[in-house]
Amino acid sequence: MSFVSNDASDDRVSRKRYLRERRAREEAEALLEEKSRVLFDANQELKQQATELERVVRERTEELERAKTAAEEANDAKTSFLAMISHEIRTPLNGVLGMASALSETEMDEGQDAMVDLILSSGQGLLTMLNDLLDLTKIEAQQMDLESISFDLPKLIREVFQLFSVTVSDKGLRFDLDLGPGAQGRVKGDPTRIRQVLSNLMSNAVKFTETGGVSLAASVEEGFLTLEVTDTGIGVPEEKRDKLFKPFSQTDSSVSRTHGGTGLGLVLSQRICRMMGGDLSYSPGDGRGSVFTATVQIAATEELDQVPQDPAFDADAYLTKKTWRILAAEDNETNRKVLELLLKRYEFDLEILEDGAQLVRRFQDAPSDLVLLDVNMPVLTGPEAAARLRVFERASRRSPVPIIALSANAMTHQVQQYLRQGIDAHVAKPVSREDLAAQMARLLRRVHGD
Amino acid sequence: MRGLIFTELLTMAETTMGEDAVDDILDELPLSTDGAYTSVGNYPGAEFLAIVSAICIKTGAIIDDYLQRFGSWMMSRMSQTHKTFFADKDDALAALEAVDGELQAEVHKLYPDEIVPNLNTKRIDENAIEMTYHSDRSFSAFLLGMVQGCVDFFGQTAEVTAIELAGGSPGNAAFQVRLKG
Repeated sequence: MSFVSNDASDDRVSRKRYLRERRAREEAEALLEEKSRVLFDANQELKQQATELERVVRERTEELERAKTAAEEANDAKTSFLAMISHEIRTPLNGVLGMASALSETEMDEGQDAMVDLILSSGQGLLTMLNDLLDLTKIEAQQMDLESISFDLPKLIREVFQLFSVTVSDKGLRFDLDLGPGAQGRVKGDPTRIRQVLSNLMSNAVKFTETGGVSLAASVEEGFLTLEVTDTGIGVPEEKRDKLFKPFSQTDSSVSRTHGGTGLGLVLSQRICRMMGGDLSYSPGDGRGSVFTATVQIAATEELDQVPQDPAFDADAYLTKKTWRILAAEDNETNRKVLELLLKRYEFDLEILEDGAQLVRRFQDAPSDLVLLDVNMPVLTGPEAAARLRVFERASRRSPVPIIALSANAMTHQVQQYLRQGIDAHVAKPVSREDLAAQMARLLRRVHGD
Repeated sequence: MRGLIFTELLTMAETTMGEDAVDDILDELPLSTDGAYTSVGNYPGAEFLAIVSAICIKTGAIIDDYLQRFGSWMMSRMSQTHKTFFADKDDALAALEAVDGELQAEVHKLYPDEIVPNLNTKRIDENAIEMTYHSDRSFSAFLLGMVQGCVDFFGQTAEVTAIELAGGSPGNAAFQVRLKG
């Protein structure tokens, strides 16, 4: 190593300096090695963490997917269960209400009259509760469909008002209606749901008021309908007001004993108002009582009703003007009896068969002017029977006979399905004679004219 | 203490004393690596002070003066090795205000656990800042030198006044740096 020397000269370094520099270099290299090893390890660890993280995220996502599917399945099961139970409850209720209704038209003494009235009102109460429950569940399952059709607003309000006038005058209460200048003519919205909310508020006001009066004020402003129901009743204690719009919480358990009800009405009404872009709120009355204010969004319209109503048309008169031949199919004996009693007054040529298949065979031998079909029947269901009738009509070049489905399956999507299967109209069980007569007369008139 | 401080100290010493004199000093002192320092290593702070003391004894310099010169030297070296750091600073005060963060980052890159003496700066007014230096090592003179080096780099002049700190521990010191002209 000739260039290494102990002599310090300009271009040569001492052995000591050379060794020291070499040692420094080796130390730097060792440090570098150590640091790169640390970096490598850290990098490996990071990669491992990323893989682990991805695995955990994948697992969580799968878990969530499974939970979501399970929840959706449970929800679907709940809806089907409700549709089923609704059918199961409505069928016997149909029997109870139909028979009580038929019974009330017979000769009875005063005591028996009162008993039948109680059966009818209890049955109606049960039906209302069932409907409220179904509606609430539909809203929660986001399955409630709102309509947007043209309707006569003041007419709807007057009809609801009229409904309570008897009870109000029986109780000796004052009853005021104020239709504001905006609440005139036709508007577009969901008349069924608006009627439901208004009936509910009116029913509560009348129920909880013993002296004084009940008033209803309606106004329309900037696309919103406001319905204000004021009463001079027992009012709502301040500490109970926050419970008003919660399910199954009447403000006082003693209230539920004296006034009945499940406490679902206000909850349902508020949900419906909110679905319609408005709200339902409570404020204490002036001095005593309550003020419930419902708002819903409505639109202006110049259209007529989708089904033109002829106020002069008398369904009962139309149905009795000749002996219409009616074929019906109903598997339940009680319901056959109810149907027979309901239609007794019209003197139809009525034949009630026990299932869809029997009806189709009978129709082919002796066709009728109109067909009534229960939906759930053994052998051949209502919709299946309707489909066979339509096939037969096409083959024999007959014009289509009006078909009405009678069913407790009153869920909207099911009704829509019936209408697609060749059924012309649907009447929900328990069947009200007025509804059934109106539909029958409307469809017969469509085919046979005045 | 970072090896860079050692290698820079030795480089500065070599420019004034020559390599042989520096080698002699390193041979005479009991040093952990026999004076074989690398800029990326980490060495006991006491060795630094021992080397500085030995240089001062050999050259007759006053320790604080020497540390101040070294601070200036370090700042001048930083201006060459960290050109981008200085490029976007308008004046010496802006650079001094940012230098703490820069130093911390540089040291932590290689030595995550190293405790770095930290410099706090507080803006007094447009032309003055106050710098407080907290460390268990007595490096006031070194810091003064760095401030001077920074002011020189920007071609400015400044008056640096020491501020008496309450408690007066040897590791803590404060200066006010006020630009002149």
